[in-house]
Order: sequence, then structure tokens, then C-alpha cells
Amino acid sequence: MSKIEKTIARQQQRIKDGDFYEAHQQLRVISARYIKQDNFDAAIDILSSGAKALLEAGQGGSGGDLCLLLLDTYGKAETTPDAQSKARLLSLVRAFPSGEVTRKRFVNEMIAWSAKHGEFPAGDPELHHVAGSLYASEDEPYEAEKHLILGTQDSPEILVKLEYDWYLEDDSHTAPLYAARAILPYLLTGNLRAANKSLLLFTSKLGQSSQNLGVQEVSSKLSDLRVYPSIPLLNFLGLLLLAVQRGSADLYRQLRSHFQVHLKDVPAWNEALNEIGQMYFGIKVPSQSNPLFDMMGSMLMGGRGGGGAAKKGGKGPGTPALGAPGVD
Amino acid sequence: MTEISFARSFLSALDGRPIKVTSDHISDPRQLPAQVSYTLPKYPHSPPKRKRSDSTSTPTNTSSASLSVNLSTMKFPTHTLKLDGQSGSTSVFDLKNAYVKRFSVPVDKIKLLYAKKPVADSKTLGEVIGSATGDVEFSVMLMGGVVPSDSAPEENVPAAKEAPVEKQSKKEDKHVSAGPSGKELETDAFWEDLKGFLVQRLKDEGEGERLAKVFRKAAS
Repeated sequence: MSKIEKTIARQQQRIKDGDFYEAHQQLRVISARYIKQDNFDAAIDILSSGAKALLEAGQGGSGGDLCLLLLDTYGKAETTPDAQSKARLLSLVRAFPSGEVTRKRFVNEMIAWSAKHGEFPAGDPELHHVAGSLYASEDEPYEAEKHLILGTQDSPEILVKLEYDWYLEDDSHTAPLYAARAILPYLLTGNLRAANKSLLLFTSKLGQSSQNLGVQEVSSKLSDLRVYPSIPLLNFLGLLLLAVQRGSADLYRQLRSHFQVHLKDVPAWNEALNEIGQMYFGIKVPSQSNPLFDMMGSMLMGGRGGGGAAKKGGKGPGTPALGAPGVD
Repeated sequence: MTEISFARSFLSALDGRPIKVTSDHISDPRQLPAQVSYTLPKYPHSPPKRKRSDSTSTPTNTSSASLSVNLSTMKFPTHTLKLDGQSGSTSVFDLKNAYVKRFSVPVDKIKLLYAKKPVADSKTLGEVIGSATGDVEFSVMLMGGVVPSDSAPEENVPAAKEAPVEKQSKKEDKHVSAGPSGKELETDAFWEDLKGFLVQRLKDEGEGERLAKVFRKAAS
């Protein structure tokens, strides 16, 4: 056994014996010593195994403190996100006793570390997925949404389940409001695949639980849609997903005006729908404040010269940003 | 039936316009700006999400129920690792690490497959197997001609993190070839790598293996 392994074993024993305070203090002191010597690997081993043992013993506060110290050490060591460094964090974040306040800070700092040292400026998708899944399993929908929108291809399933369960607690006519909480944000991150998958998953859950929706298949030569005569806004979302593929501004305007009466009831969608108009259909929004949309808009609109609105806007063909493969 | 007729006319109007973005398009997440994602604001009427109190409704098997995990590889049937007493929260990466420690193979040269599908490192056992209990079988895929270096018979190891650290002595040469082009195609290592890539990319072990054979045959 190496010296570090011995140190770890000694502190684990201490934690097993219930001597949490002492173990926590010693782990801090020992890791600080290694950090001072630039022996980051040793400090990382000690902090992560110590934090894990404390968390598993239900000590969220002191375990969480070591977790934050571990991220701090990652920063000093300039550790980059890879399978090993991420697995270490994920096993810690899963080990937190539920409801521990430090966890949220740990999640946020973990994402920030991955953004700074990795290739995803908005944070590593796998880390987002795991964090979002944890919040979803604890029924924290707003926190879960934030992360699952930036997650992996497995995220829509978790998010839709959460939204659907939430919808079941609300009135039966509110289904589209909850489906939209997945679909519209995915559209605004340029993730059509996840947006489409979300609608599909949501409506199939809806179909399973209620038989008398009177759903009708409507088909044209190239497109199909399941229409719910009694749930107009669900049809709006379905038609919107088809319309964004075409990017025709006149059709988008037509869509919004046809559903005007119903859309008036959901002012919370306004900003998102305006931004979607800008991103996919080249319809200018007067006050542009969110840089995300500016950026996504230029990525989506940049490469195409064909759309009427895009031409009117005078945007020349730029570098095509479409067709970028998604990460699995 | 105004909903139906509107949908019908809208769909045929769409048909007349060219497709600019496909329905499975994903903008490169590496290009997303460094900021929090956009989510819809709270609806004023929405009830706060009810907390599920019973643990049975949690989607994944995160209980501490004891699972027995078998890691085996077709090519080296004696190199099997049985891990008892695993909980649903053990990650796939933990399992890989246990195998790595036991048989001294580089961690980036192995992949784990469950029901013939590759599984991501960040998943937990609970997420992978769902509600299954008892014995869990994973197959280990070795890439780049890596050879597990301990021929000891199957033995029980109490838990992933306590797996004994094997001596690094390599009884067999784990030779990863990087010869000049041309020679490369004659090595098994190359074709194993290609197969590994195909299986991972296609998410289908059988199809990956079949294609790798096709390519090899065509190249010789």
C-alpha cells in the first residue's frame, strides 16, 4: 500500500467510526499539503475518496465542502474533462444525501469547471444530463429543465417524463403547456432532434393514458401530423416543428395568427416564439438582448440564401453551420 | 373541424417549400455560448411539482439492493470478473475500472456492452439495467489488440473499489501496432480497432462485427 492509500484508508476508518469532524479537518490539512507540493494527483485521490466516504455516511455539509475543494484542485491542476475526471465528480454528486444545500453549488461549479476546461462552453452535456436527471428524480422541475436542455440524447426522455408527470397534477387541458417546456427550449438551443423526440414522447404518453382524444391523422404528400381537435396548442407545437424545417416566414406568421386566440392565454411563450421567429424564420425581433439567440440565429440563418425572409434581411450566404453532427 | 382543415391546408403549404433544416438537426453544442440554457418562465397557474415520497416511483434502480455483475469477454473466456454486492448507483466507469485493475488493460481500450449495446461511462448500473435484479451480464470489448494479462481463474471480488491491484507484470505482450501504412492492414489490432469503432458508432455489436469482416475481406 502506498503512503496515499494508507492515508485514505485511515481516514475512511475514522469516518466509519463516526469521527466526522476530525476526519474532515485532517483531509483538508493533508490535501492542502499535497497541493502545496504540486502533487495534485495525490490531493485529488484523497479529496475524492474522503468526500465520498463522508457523503455516504450522510455528512452532506463536510462531504460537500471537500467536493468543492476537489473542484478547486481540478482548477489548480488544470484537469480537463475526461472519462476519469468526470466519473469521479458524477459518483460524488450521486452520493449526496438528497436535499443537501451544498449539492447545488457543487453542480454549478462542476458545470463551470467543464465549461472552462473542456470543449463545451455551455458545460459538458454528460454532466448536465446527470445533474438534470438527479433534479428530475427529486421533482425539482426548474432545475432539471436547465440542465436537461443542454444534456445528451438521453435527456429528452427524462425531461418529458418529468413534464408529463407534472402535467398530470394540473388540469387536463394544460397538456401543451407542459410539452412546450421541453419543445420550445430545445428549439432555442438548435436541437430539433430533441424537440421532435419530446413531442413524440409526450403525445405517446398522452395517448396511453386517455383513449378519447379523438386524434386524427392528417397527411399531405410529404408530411404527417396527428391532430388533436380538442387540444389546439398541441397542434400548434406539432405544426411549428414542421414549419421550422422550412423556415418560411409567411407560414410562421400564418401559424401564429391562426392560433392567436389560444396563444393569448400563454404569454409565457411570447419571448420564445419571437426568438424562434428570428432564429428559424428570419423575422427580426426589435429588442435583441439574449446573446444565445443572436448566436443561434446566425448559425441557423447564416448558411441559407433561399428563404424569402432571409433574402429580405440581406444576409448573404455565410458558412453553413447546419448539419453539424450531434454528440452522443 | 377547423383544427383538422387548417392542419391539412398548412401541411400542403409546407410541402411546397424546400426543407432547410432536417427534423433531426442538432446545432453543434460546442458552439453554444457560455451561458445558462433558455427555459420557459414559470406559469402563474402551475401547481408546484409534487414531491414523490415513495421510493418506488423513482425511475431508476438506485436502491442498495445487491447486484451481482459479471464482466466477461468472448475472446478470453477465462478472463471473467464477478463483482458481488454492487448497488444501482455504481457507475459503468467503476465497473470498467475494476476490470482494468484485475487484468491490467488500459482503461481507454475497453468498452462494456449490455445486451449487446455499448453503455456510456457516466451511466449507473441502475440506469442501464432498469428494474432487473440479481445477476447482471456485461460483455467486455477489448480494442486495439489488447490482451488481458492475468490468466487466473474466475474469482470473487467483494466490490469494485476494493478490487485487488494486480501487479503490472505483463505475461503477454500487449502490442498495439502503429506500423507504416500498408503493414497496418495486416495486423489484427487494426481490425479490432475498426470493429470497436463500428460497434460503438452503430450501437450494434452484430452489425459492427459483420461490417468489420466485410471491410477486412475487401481489403485483402
